[in-house]
Formats: sequence, C-alpha cells, structure tokens
Amino acid sequence: MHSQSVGTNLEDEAPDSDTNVYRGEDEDEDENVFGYPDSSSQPNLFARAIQLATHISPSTPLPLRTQCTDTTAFQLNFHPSIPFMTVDEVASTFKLPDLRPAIADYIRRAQDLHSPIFKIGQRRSSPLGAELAFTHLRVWYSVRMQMRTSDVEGMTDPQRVCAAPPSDDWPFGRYDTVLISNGTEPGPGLGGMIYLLFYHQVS
Amino acid sequence: MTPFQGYDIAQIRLIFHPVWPTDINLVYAERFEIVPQAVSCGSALRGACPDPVTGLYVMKRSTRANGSRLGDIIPLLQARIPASVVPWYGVRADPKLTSRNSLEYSTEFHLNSFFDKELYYFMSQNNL
Repeated sequence: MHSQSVGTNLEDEAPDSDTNVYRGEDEDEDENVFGYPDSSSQPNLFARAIQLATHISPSTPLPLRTQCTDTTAFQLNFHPSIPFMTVDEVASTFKLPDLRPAIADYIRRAQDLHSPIFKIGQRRSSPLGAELAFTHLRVWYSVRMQMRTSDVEGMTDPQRVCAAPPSDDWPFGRYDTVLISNGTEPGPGLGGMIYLLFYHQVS
Repeated sequence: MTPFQGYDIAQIRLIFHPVWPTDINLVYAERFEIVPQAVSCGSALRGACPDPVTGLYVMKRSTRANGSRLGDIIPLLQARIPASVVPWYGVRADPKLTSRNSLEYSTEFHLNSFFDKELYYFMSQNNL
C-alpha cells in the first residue's frame, strides 16, 4: 500500500502571493516552544494541504508550504529562514561537509534510477565537488508536523521540529529527531513509499 | 544492528528546497541505530530489543567507514512523527552535558518512546 502525497506543482516560486495561500504572516507564533498551542483552535494542516494542492493557480507560491501524506502534515513558513544561499555556504553554515555530494546522489537516484525509495545510509558515490543543476538553496530552520491519531481527537496539535544552525543560544545548533520512513515499512494504512521525483531532467 | 523495520530514527540537520523547479522539500537527515541489548534481564543473549530494565531502545549514531556520521537527503514527506532521543548516561552522567549539547557530546541515547502518547502509539501499532 502506497501513500499518496498531496502537493504537486509545476513551476517554481511565482511572484507575489495568493491571499488564499499566504495570509500575510508566518504562522509560527501560535505555539510555545514545546509545540502545544492553545487547544481552543486546533489548526488542521491536512485540510489545508489538500485545499492548497487542489487549488493551484499561476499565482500560487511554490513549492507548496503545506503538504501532507496519509499520516503526517507538514507546514513550512512562507518565508524561508534563509531565502537564497549557495550550496557550499549552506554546507559550511550547517557543518555538513558532504552536503553537495549527498544532494548529487539524491538527484541521481531520483532521476537516473527513478528510484521511489530514499533511505539514509546509501553509498556516497558523488565526489565532493559534484556538479549540481542549481547553485542555491532556500532553507527553513523549522517545520511544523501534525500527525493523524487513532483516537477521537483525530489529529495531534502541530509540533515544531527544528533544524537550526549554531547560534549564541544553541552553540551546537538545534537539530531535532524524528521517526522517518525508509521506504520499506510493512502493512497498510501507515503509508509506504512516496512517489515523488524531480521531474525536470538535467539537459 | 538493523534499524526498525521500515523506519529510521534520524536527526534532521537541514530543511531545504533547491532554487530550481521542483516541488519537493528535502531534508538532510543523520541516522541512529539500535545498540543490541540483553533479550531479558540477566540474559547473555543480545538482540535488537529494548533495554529490559527501562523498556527503551538504546541508540547510537550510525557512521560511515571513515567515521563520519551517516547522513543522506530524504524528502521531508517521508518523516512520520517527532521522536524524542535523550542521552543515556550509563553509570555516571558527564557533568558537561546540558539540554543544548547532549546530542553532540553523548555517544549512546535512549529513544524515549514514553515521551508522548503519539510516539508511544505509533511505535506500538507498528510493532517497533
């Protein structure tokens, strides 16, 4: 059983915003650091992800900031924490010396092998200076995750998961941990492989 | 030691999107692996099971042959649920440890499946 992921779009970021999509503020101030917002108005990121994915217009800012799978919905701030930074600068800021070859390996697997399975721990086959089809990344320091539950509440409150580089407060950076699919989980219902590929060929 | 069937515990090191026409948000994630524990209290037999005393899995960072941490690029949408990983102090806690450096300085961790009920249910339902 394969989970369908919602959120498809065909072009890169469109200028300016659809008010439906971007409501003029980033939605990261409505919860405390432990991720438990005021329960009086629980957001439903799943509904929002589906609404966004099914109403894409030429003015929709892409990539979609709210996306979901069967089990989990994700929301990124409209404004990236770092809107435009070279791959090598990001690697240095986040102390990830093999970022460039890791991205090259990912793209090779996605494009050349048409592999739907992405798994941590593959052999690193691209060289340190691997060429990429793009030069810059946009980076977010956190993502909000909301999970479906089997109890009556239906879904959890969104929780913030951080991946922030070293700062005065967090000299080693703040990098949270998650349980992540490696594409081989058994059984129905909880989502299997996600068919998401880079669809642009490097020409 | 083999990770959980179908899932990894991973630290998210970067959330990003290439400035390029693609709709996929990506993460750079570093994996943890299970440290085999005694299958029952006092047993010499070890397996990929939780510590029989605490009921918690003991984890360590996975590394490549050259000693660097094992990380790769994965679509953000493959993440399922936040998972609390806390240092496992062993006999004596290192006094240098604080909440802000413990994931860096520690070598062994507990996967705290009792951190909240969602993680507990998720792991129970998936026989992890």
